[in-house]
Formats: sequence, structure tokens, C-alpha cells
Amino acid sequence: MTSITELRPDEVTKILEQQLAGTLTSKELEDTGIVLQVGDGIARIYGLTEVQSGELIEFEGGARGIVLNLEEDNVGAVVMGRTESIHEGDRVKRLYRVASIQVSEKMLGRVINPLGEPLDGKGPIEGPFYESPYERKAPGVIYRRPVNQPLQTGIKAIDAMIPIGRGQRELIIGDRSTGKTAVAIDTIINQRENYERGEPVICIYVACGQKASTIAQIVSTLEKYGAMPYTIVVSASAADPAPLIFLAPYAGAAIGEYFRDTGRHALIVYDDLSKQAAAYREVSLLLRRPPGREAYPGDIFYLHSRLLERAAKIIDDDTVAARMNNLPESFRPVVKGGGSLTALPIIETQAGDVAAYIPTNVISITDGQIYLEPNLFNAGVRPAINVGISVSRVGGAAQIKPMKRVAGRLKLELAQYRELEAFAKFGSDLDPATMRQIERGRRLVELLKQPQYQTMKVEHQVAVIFAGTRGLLDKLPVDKVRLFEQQYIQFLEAGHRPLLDKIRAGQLDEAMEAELERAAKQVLAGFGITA
Amino acid sequence: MSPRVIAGRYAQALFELSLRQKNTEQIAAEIHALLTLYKESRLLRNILESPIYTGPRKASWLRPLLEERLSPLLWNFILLLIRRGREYLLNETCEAFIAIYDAHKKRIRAYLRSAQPLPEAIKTSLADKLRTALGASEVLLTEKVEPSLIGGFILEVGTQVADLSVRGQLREIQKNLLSN
Repeated sequence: MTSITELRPDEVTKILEQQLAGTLTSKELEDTGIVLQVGDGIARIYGLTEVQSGELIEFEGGARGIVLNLEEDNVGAVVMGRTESIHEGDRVKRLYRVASIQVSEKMLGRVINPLGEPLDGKGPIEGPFYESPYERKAPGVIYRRPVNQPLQTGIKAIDAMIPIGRGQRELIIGDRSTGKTAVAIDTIINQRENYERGEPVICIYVACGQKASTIAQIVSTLEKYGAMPYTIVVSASAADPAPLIFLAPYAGAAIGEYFRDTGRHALIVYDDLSKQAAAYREVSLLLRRPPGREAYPGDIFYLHSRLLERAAKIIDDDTVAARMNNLPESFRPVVKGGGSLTALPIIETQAGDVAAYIPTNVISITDGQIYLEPNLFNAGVRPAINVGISVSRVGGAAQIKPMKRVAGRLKLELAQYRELEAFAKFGSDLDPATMRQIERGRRLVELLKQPQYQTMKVEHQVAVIFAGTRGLLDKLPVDKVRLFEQQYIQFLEAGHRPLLDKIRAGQLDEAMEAELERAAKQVLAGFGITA
Repeated sequence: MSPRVIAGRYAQALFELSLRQKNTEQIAAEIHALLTLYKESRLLRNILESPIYTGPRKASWLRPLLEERLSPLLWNFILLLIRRGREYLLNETCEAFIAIYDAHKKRIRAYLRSAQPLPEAIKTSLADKLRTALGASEVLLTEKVEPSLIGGFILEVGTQVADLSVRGQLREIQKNLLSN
């Protein structure tokens, strides 16, 4: 930074002259309006006869708004930011452009508000900026390709049974404090490996109507685990006005689209969409739009569907990608194919009621859901994923081959275990086959437990799940499973690294399986188990 | 429905009827007079806008005052408003009528605010420019002196505004400097 002493007076004049050059030119008649009413983040304006829906407007005090309602004799707009500076009778100007956010690569590692302004006190965000509209139509069919690459969450239960592909939309749903955010944060932390390898998956965490303290905690967690350099946090806390909260996911999507359309991979977490729906309901009711079920407006489904449709895997062909529909002008020089935007929306249910309005809507929009249960959580099964009703409708295509091979049996065995679990209470009255099934299930459940922030590499996951589904752990006491897992991974890392590398590259044949089995048996021998 | 819309409908009906009777000019003049009266007489406003008095009573009070002085069309129109319980919208209806009449005549009303009284020559040239720019046949300029503008003027045509005042430019300069 240059100090003030280095600044010469003639320089000051020159700079100021440059900046003011545009100000003092002749003017044409502008379309303006007059504020009739302002309050609760909503302004009603008389005039602005030519304004378009979704257009940005500017109030006399400098505050900005977005036009949402065009009525017979007035215009309804939401005010972004504070309404204190706006008075009845103020002039309102059109800005002749749709509301958009200025995206920059320098946003990585920053905490911003939905308007793109930094909140972390690390100074202004530097350019070059690319203008990305909040509302943009999702890419059409010909610009997409089916999901084919995995997005590793580093969570065994998810990567094995509910795999997520890049470009997929996977809902995380569950009651309060069941670990929804933890799943998302772990997924972000697990992308560090990609970042260090130079193929980053850019993560965008959209905090929507959460406590400011929670957001601060999440940011510090991400910093602690080295995840901030490839992460952008878009924050609209509970203290922000409703329009900002409902805009936050759109701001996140607009940022994500920049990375998606420039051929990179991005992951966006909307935490959470139920609060965004509530904020949108608030705005809609204040704009006097008619309420529907649970007082949500009629377009609440569209609110979420158009947002989640923007998550996509873009076709690899650069020339086709360059012709993408609704591509913002500023993206044109940098557009590239092959990018993706993966969305992890979060929905909070009330007392496990997944049949409520917003949960059913979002379940039907997404490509699957991860259902988290308080009962499992309290029983110590963490992550508390109910594998029975959690599904991933497209991610299977993106799973690496070895994982597909070892995890196929896992889901089946766990399903059988759940059926028999009720009988487990009768203990010894069961026949040996049933007993064996129950014992196997117990060990698999134990195997899928995973502490927070301890994500796991995919090759380790394959090795561990292989040991479980092969029945190698059947004789091991349940409380020793976690210890075995640790030692087994250490053992493989120490003596079988080439094998792990091959698994990572997508190979698994019988010889390799035999090698894994031998290694497992050697570790088991340390527990006094020989078979 | 909003009062503005209702008033617009009534005014449109009155205007079309006056066109057919070919006495638009006269009706417009009477409406101007009526508006002035309405704005100046609080009693008249109170009577018309009060929900306490019934329609027939309001009509009987207005009859000696207005019947002789207005053309039959306009007097009947006021009676109609009273019968339909819309007499409280008389002011808005009159304004809507004037707007329709102006549009019909391609006449534009502009509002000029300046820091100092402007010389006649500038005003006429401004009006001329506006007339050609907006394709109007006549420009009616209302002016007001507002020293707080510091210098220059603000021209308003309906909701269209051209701010060429020093105050507006200072505000813009302030905004530009703050945003960089």
C-alpha cells in the first residue's frame, strides 16, 4: 500500500477528475418512482412504469432493492440491507439491470454476505469480477451430461451406500441436532485432498438464517482443518432481514455457477432451506401474495426447484458449453466445459415429520436423500444415517469399481440385520443362522460409525468394508471393531501401499482381495483371533 | 380495488360522454374550477368525504351551490357519484379526468424546480425541447423555486425525472467517491 505522503496533489486532481468524468454529463429523462410505504424490508413504490420484475432499483439514500411485484398502480420491492435510510416520498431510480453478484476468484477463503460484501474484516475483495445474476435459468438438457465422477464425502456410510456424484443434488434431512451440518462440513473438509492435489472442488457454504455464533464456529472449524482456502462462506444470519436470507442460496448458486461454467468442480451446501422457505414466506406475505398450504406462497416449490436445478454436470465439449443458455455476458471469455456444481441442500424436519410440505417438496426435487435420525444419534450411531430410507438415485454410476464391489453386499446385510434386530432381544432362543446374521449386522453398524472431522480416504473405506462384508470380523468382539479398523489401516499403509493405490485407481480383483484378506487376518491375529 | 383505479373508470366514462356531446373543453374548465373549489373549501371536502351524511342529504346540500353553475352533464355525473357512494373520490376523479384530457390533447404537464427563478427565454426553450422530444402538442410548465437545489434545475414529467441540479450532482459525486 502506498502511504499518504507519497500522494502528490496533481495526482489527486487527476484521479478525482477521472472518477467524476461520468457524473457531470448531460442527462436524459429517467423513469423514477416515489416510495409510498416502507417497512419490514418491503417498499411499495408509485411510478417506475417501465420497470421489469427482478430488476434492481436504487433508493435516494443509496439502499438497493429488487422488484418482485408489478401491480396495477404500484410496484412491490424487497429492500436489500437496512430500510432505516428510506423514507416515504423518496425518489427511486431504476438501475436497468437484473440483480446480480460480482464473483471473483479472490472470494475463496472469505466470508461474504449475499450481496458479495466481505464480512470477515480481511479487507475488500479484489477482482477481476464476473457478474453473475442471482436468478438464472438452469442449463438445458443438451448442455448437461449424466453424473459420472464421484464426490467423495469421506464418510463411510455415505460413500459406500449412498454415493454422491459430481453434479448431483443430495438432500440431507433430519430433526434438529442430528448431525446434518456435520455431514456437510465433513464433506467440505474431505475435499482438502483434492485441493492439495491441484484439482480442487470449490466449496460454497451458504448459511441461511442461522445463529451468527454457529456460523462463526463453522468458519473456525473449516479454518482449523485447512478447508478455508478452497471454501466460500455466504452468510445470512438470523439477524439479517428476510429478503437477504431468502436471497442467500441464490447468491451461493450464482457464485457456484461461475466455477461450474469455467470447467471447475464446485460443491454447494444450503444450510438450511427450511429457513429460506420461511424467509420467503415472510416476504411473500408482506407483499400480500396469497398464502397456500402452511401459509407458504404458491411458488414455494418453484423457489426450490429452480434453485436446485442449477446444480448440474456440464458437457465436456467446450464449443457446446460455450453456447449454453442464459450464459452471462461476463462469462463468455472464460467459459469451459466439463465443470460441475453439486448441491447438498439441508432440510430440518419437526419431530421426524418428512411428510410436511417443504420436506416432501425438496425430497421430490433432489436426486436422493440422506436421512438422519435422532434415535440412532442418541444410540451412539454417528453419523446417524438411516440407511433403510436413505437413497442416492444417480450416484451409483459415479462410484469407483472396488467400492461398488465390496459395498453391494453391505446394504443387503444391513437390511437383513434390521429385520432380525427385533428378535435379538430374545437372545439364545434363535437358530445359529439368524444369530450369525445379527452378529454380522452389529459389527457392520459398528464399522460404519465414524467420529466427526475424521474423514476417510476411499481406499481405506474399501479395505475396511471389505473386511466387514467378508465376515472376517465375525469373531471379533463388537467393542474391538473400531480398534481393529485403526490398526488394519495402519498395517495396510505401512506394508501394502501399492495395493491401496491400485484400489484408488479403480481396480479390485481376486488376487487383491486375497491380499486384503491376508492382511486383515494378520491384524486379527494380534487380537488373538485365528481362523 | 384501489381508489386510483376506480376514479380512473369514472373519469373515463365522463370523458367519453363529453366527447360525444362535444363539450369536453367546457367540462374540463368546470372540472378545473371544481378542483380549486374542492382544495380551498374545507367544508365542501368534509361534506363529501364524511361517511356520516347520507347520499340524498349531500345531494340536497350541493344542489343550490352547483346545479346552476355546472353544465348538466357534470352535475348529473356528481349525482351519479353520490348515488354510487363514490363522492369521496371526487378529487381523484377530477384529477384522472384532467390526465385523460391532457393525453387526448397531447398536452404534457411538466414540473420544473429550480434554485433561482429562470428567465422566460430559457423556460420557453426548455418547453420547446420537451415538446419535440416527447411528441406533444403543448407543454404546460409549472415552476417552483427551491433554493436548496443550490443551482441548476430538476425537470419532472409524470414519473420521469431529469435531475440537473447541483444538489443531485453533488450527491452523485459523493456516491461515486464512496463506492471506489
